[in-house]
Amino acid sequence: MHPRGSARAAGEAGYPDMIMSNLRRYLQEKPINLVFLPFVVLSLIFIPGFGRWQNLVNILVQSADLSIIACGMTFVIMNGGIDFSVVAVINLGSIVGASVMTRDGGMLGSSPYGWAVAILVMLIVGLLIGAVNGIAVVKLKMPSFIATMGTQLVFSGLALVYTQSVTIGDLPDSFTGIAEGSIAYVPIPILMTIAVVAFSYYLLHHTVFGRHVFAIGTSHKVSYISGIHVKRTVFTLFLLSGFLAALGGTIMTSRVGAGMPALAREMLLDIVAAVIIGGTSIAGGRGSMIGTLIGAVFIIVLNNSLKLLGIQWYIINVFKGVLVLVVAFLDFVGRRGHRSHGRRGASCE
Amino acid sequence: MGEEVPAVSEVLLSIEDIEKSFSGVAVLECVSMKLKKGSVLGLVGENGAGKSTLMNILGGIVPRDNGSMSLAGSEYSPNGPIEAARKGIVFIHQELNLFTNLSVAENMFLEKYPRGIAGGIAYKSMYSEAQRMLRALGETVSPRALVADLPMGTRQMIEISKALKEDAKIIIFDEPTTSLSTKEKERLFAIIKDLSSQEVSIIYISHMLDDVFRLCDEIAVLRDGRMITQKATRDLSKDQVISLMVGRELSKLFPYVEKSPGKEVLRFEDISQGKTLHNIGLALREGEIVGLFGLMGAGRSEFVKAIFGVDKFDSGEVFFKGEKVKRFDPSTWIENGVALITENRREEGLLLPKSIKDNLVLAHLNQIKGPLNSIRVRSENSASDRVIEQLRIRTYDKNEQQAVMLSGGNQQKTVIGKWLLTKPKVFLLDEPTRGIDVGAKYELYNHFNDLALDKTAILFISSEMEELMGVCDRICVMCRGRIAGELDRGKFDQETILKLAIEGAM
Amino acid sequence: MKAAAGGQDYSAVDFFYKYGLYMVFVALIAVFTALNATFISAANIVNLLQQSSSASIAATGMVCVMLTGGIDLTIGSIIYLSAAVVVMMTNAGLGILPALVVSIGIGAAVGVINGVMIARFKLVPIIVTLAMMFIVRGLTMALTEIKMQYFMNPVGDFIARYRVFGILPVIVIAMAVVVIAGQLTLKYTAFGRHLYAIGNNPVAARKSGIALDLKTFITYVISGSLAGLAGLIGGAQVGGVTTTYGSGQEFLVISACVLGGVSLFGGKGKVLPGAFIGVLIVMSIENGLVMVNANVYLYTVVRGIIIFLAVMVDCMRNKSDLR
Repeated sequence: MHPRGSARAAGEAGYPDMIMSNLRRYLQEKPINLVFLPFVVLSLIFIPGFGRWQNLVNILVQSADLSIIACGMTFVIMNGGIDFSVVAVINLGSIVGASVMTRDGGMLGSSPYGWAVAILVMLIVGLLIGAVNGIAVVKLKMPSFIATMGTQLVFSGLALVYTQSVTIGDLPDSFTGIAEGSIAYVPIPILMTIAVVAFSYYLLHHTVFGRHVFAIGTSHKVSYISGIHVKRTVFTLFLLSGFLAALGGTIMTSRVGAGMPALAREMLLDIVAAVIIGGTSIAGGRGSMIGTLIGAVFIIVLNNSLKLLGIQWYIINVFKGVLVLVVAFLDFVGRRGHRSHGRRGASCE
Repeated sequence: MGEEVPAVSEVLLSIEDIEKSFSGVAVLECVSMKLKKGSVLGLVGENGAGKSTLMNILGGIVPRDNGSMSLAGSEYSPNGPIEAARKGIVFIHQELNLFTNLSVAENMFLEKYPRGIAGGIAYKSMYSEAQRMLRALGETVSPRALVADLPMGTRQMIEISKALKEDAKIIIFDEPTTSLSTKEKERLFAIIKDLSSQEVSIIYISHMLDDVFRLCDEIAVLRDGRMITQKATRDLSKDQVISLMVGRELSKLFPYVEKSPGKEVLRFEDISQGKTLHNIGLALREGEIVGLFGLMGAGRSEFVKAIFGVDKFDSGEVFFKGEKVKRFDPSTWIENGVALITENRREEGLLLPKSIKDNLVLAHLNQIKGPLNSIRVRSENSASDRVIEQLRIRTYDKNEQQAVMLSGGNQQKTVIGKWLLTKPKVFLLDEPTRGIDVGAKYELYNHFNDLALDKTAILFISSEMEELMGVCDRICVMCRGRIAGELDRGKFDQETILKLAIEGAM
Repeated sequence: MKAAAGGQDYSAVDFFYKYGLYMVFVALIAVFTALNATFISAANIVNLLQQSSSASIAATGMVCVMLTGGIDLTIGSIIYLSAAVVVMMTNAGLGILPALVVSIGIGAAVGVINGVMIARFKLVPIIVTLAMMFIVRGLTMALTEIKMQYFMNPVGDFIARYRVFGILPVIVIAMAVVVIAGQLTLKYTAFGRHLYAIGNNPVAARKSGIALDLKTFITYVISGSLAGLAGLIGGAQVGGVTTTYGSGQEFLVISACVLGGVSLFGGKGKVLPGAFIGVLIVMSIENGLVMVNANVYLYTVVRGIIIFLAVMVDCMRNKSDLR
């Protein structure tokens, strides 16, 4: 009973094997491509006006916040964890920032640079919550899903307690202009997305830190023995997630023009779906920023197109959930291919 | 009345011409063995001789390639450990199969709980039944006690009780006394003698020859995958057995190179760790290959892992280039040019699903990074190409092929390659040639020599005495957590080394 | 970790672990009674038990899943699904016994899907149950056309109001039955014991011939079924089932279980007293918050703190990878 192919000396792998394993890995790493292109094509065919330039630009503007937040989430999922608290980061950041810059009695409401300080504050909120998560996971050794659920409840709750569910409006135009404005004819949200995705992509795929993230997601033990600072890196992942969530939250707050304590309430599924369907595996060690970007745009397109077809949002949720499961299943199939190689006989004694 | 001819029916288990290979490497060749009813058979051999594989085949954990087995006259070909257990063969491993969160009785009756009212588990009768069986072995532990609270010796007794409950006809013990106190050991022996008088056969694997001679009726010696001899204990002496264990002709030529070791680069003083390591003292000099030999449980891997920071040690000091070491973690060691190859490459050495290149550069990235923490792809590629060529790692595409798909030997080379790239000044190698074919081993020895000539200090842990004797400048022998002795090259002798490993300091 | 093969050293920490739960419970009761004397009245106690019924039943299922080291995030959505379906069917004339069967059956069906994906295809429980959480809730919303469902029939009345001998609500009896049956199963059946074994040492469990995958599968079916039952009972109690009904219940139940000594890492914990006391503690906190007229938004903060602290203690006792 020989595991497929492994006992042969390397270099003897035949072409059919190579093609199959490459195909399998492609499906496993970039399943999004399978879904995204057909969907775009179908939308082009069935939805009038879909292909208009303005519409495409709108889609990119709309998906800006999701893309940015999903980039942060990608880092955490690559380590085999998850960050439920991004919702809280957005909520809390939104109302804290708003309360700083609101013209209606905000701390810096009358200052022309209030909005800039507000944004800074929102980002700090993201970093703080990220730090709490990081400490919980790294120092207290809590599983991320529960640690971040804890922080999510506490900080979202705090946002509600502080505002008593009242939105904070009357934000300065310079701030609300972010979501609507453009620089040199390019909408600001798109610029931000490009910057963030480029940064995240570079960080993950072209830096030593990024390689360490891949390694740690694959095996903590091997990474540690190879001299990688596992704890430091994992902590940074949560900081990144918090920070980028806050950044995305800025765009969202600007778009609605108010600080809302329940701003991100229904967003979690979209974020997780964007990352998973984009090809990042929660088993750890595998992922792609570009995949996440495509995943985020795909989610927005999916939301829009299906809505135009008259499908309710909760049914769209069902679709997204099913897609996540399908992708997870494909991941399993792909992994099984190499797992059977891995199962050798007992070690020689 | 004539002499009683030993009837064939007395033979309970008969193994003939067993062969087994893993990934093309032969581990057992033409092994035959007979076990009589009620006999205690000691199975001895160095690490890697094939004892565990043979027992795994017997216990149904691993299938054999060739050969046959018969049990009580009929053919025996288990397709799993459960079937082997049903046929009466129980294997008590070093890592016991117990659940620490359950009580003694619950563990014993795990596969079939006694039923009481309404089909629920009848605890009272289970406890009393368990108590009875434990008492029969002289064990006083309460059947209600949680296994987590019990010492190793007691846990072993529970496993034995479990085996007896399942009507074991053959019980295999694999190095049972490593974690036992003297008192527990004596109790184990008493029980084994008792079992044998009740016609239960025992196979006792151990390298403690004193124990084997005390306990066993017969001794079988395995060497390099072959059964050398099986004789009655009274027909053998300890020296003879040691001789047979190592009595290979040292015909293989090893590439030894004369070196002139330089100054001391790493010194360990009085390293102790719980019950595993006791006052280990060792020194490594530049340009020297020091072998570290020992049998199972000697503590060699625990030692290097504790030093490197994978585990912790309790007391002792380490000096690197004359200065006392304060931080013991892998990244600090690597920065200072010390590398460790652990013995478990699949779980500790390689990122299996990642490409060969990714694995090779894993520890080296920090040294070749560009501005802004970026990766210099060209340096990455040239470094990995260099190592692949140097070690002759056979891969069709270093960027595409996953490490898991390599053969064992190439996997090992990849691990070594990874560490070579860190340009270590001290190289701690734990079983670096395990599972590699002869040709590749030879290449590795040459590499080690080159490194040594380049002033690298090498600590070479191995269970293969031959290769240590062939390649090292000096050999240290560990026994039961201590350094038993040290031999310079001129004094290398197989029997001396093995004696030190078995008996400790003389 | 005190699993070292040695004697029994009881330090203060061990004592706290064993009895801390009860100490917290008693302290809690004392505090709330001090704040508002009616806390300890018979009426309030019955009230508390009633409120805890749905969660206790769901927690019994969750304990089984957690014992093997898994997790089930779908129970909140199952509660909603089951409640909604039962409301619609009983409004259309379905009797109580069939309603019972339907609620359990629906939950079981979801549990089967979870179990197949997790036990058979070895997908990660968090992702599977997270995705299913959204799927089930979405489907239910479609089913009810996001209309609020009111229990306007004798079945609902019966469940919500009927008291045996005029004192004991039938809900509490149902809770007692489930919780006791759950604990008995865990303690007195081979199945239950094997769950502990699987959580403690899956490798050894497989070697011993325990059908690991099958048993893990069954735990998800149990969890789903009991969540379905919890939905029936809870739904009848609130009377009106909205689209957010049950949302977040899973984390409430998980924190109750962890508080009650059920470890997230598997192999440890009981339904009775363990998880049940955990539920009572969580519910009394909520009950207490009501009595002191706490800001309604403070509830989520308190819930978050509870989860955090409970899990923190659990994790300090166990080693794991940093994920």
